[in-house]
Amino acid sequence: MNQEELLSEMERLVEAGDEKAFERFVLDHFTEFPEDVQGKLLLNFYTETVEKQAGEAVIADIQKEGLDAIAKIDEIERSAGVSEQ
Amino acid sequence: MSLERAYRMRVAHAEAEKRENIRHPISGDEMELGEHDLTLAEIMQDKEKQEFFINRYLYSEKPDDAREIADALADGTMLSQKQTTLLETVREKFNIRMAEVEKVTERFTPEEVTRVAEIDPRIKEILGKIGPEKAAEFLATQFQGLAVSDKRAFNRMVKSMRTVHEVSTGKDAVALDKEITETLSSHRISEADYFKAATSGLTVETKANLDKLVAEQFGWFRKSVDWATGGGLRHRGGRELYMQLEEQQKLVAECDKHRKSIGKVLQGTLTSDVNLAIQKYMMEGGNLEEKKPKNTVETIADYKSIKDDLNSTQSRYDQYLQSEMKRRRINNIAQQPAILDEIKEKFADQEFKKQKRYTAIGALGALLAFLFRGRTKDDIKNSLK
Repeated sequence: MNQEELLSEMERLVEAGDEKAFERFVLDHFTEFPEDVQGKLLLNFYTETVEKQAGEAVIADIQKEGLDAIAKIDEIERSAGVSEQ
Repeated sequence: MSLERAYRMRVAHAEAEKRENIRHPISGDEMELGEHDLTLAEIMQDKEKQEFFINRYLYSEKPDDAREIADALADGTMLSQKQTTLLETVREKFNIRMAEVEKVTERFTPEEVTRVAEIDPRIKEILGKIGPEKAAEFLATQFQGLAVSDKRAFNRMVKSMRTVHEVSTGKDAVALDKEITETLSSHRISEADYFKAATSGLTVETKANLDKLVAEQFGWFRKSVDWATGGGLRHRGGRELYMQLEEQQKLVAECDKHRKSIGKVLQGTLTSDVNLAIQKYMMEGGNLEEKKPKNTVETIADYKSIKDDLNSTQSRYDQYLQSEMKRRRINNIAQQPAILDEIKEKFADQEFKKQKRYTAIGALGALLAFLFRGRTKDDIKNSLK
């Protein structure tokens, strides 16, 4: 497809409001886009993935911290001679 | 001490201080400017560096000054003292940014891109078409451009990369989720009220409420973790205090309070919408205000709205012209061609700045790139009737 055809098909998919079909089309025709557009798309996807990874890492950190803290609270109770209620 | 030695020491101290102030954007280690420690003359003599420095970096920081300086350079006019001072100040920041970019792009290796592709099937598919070497090259080039023209996007990407670098989870997410479920169950910590807000079909209003609740709970979570890790018992005066039944009951109540507070947040990490709200809260520095700029294209609706805006350029210009004529008390603008040209120039400049600010996420980046492809300020100005 040439650039006009690519744009026209993308516009058609946008009008239809189907984001999944739109993304599928962009991936299927990836190498037909100019190189700077290919680079932009790749960086967009890469950024989303790294942000997702960072979000998951943050959650895992909170989970570990919380579990450690609960274990310490249990220990506080035990060291004071308090049996679990 | 000889004068020469004193001078050498001063230079060495200045260099050491400079190194201490420059940090690797991801690891946080000290770093040197190296080949990016350039003088203004060295930057201006290199066409590519000059383009990055004036038209991208300076433009993103001070667009009006950048335009005036670019015009002066194109006309071969002498720069004013004020302009030279500005360039010198911005040069230091630019050199640091370029050194930072080099450190970040070093991480875009074919191996790293292949690793990330294992997480995202879209990237995997692209790698299948162009190969990891070409993908790494594309990423480095694009990132370099983004780093000198979009400070916010650069900071966001670097922050995420730093977080991934800093946080080593040790356990996988599934194992952690299982351990939390078991811990909460063994302590009989049940679902907190705010999870009801996250059952299904979040509206903008419930989303905002959820964000607020996450922020509140997170405050309690931090206090409780500090209480536990700081040794809650020690703060209360030692175990002797708890030998009496009454004091023991107080301690149990206090432990219970903190455990529940931690449990609420842990439970939230297992609920997808609350989990996302917690991530947002953490990644955006605890500020729950909507930081996303209005010019980010995230959905087809966003794109359509920008396209409508683009298609209404002439009518917006007509309104702008009318208001300017009224403001300047001009009845017949046709008789004032110089002023008309000035108004068109100003409007085109505003439109061009707006167009440069738009960014898109995911595949919509392709459409946005086509929408404004090659549209210069002069194109906008010449299209105005």
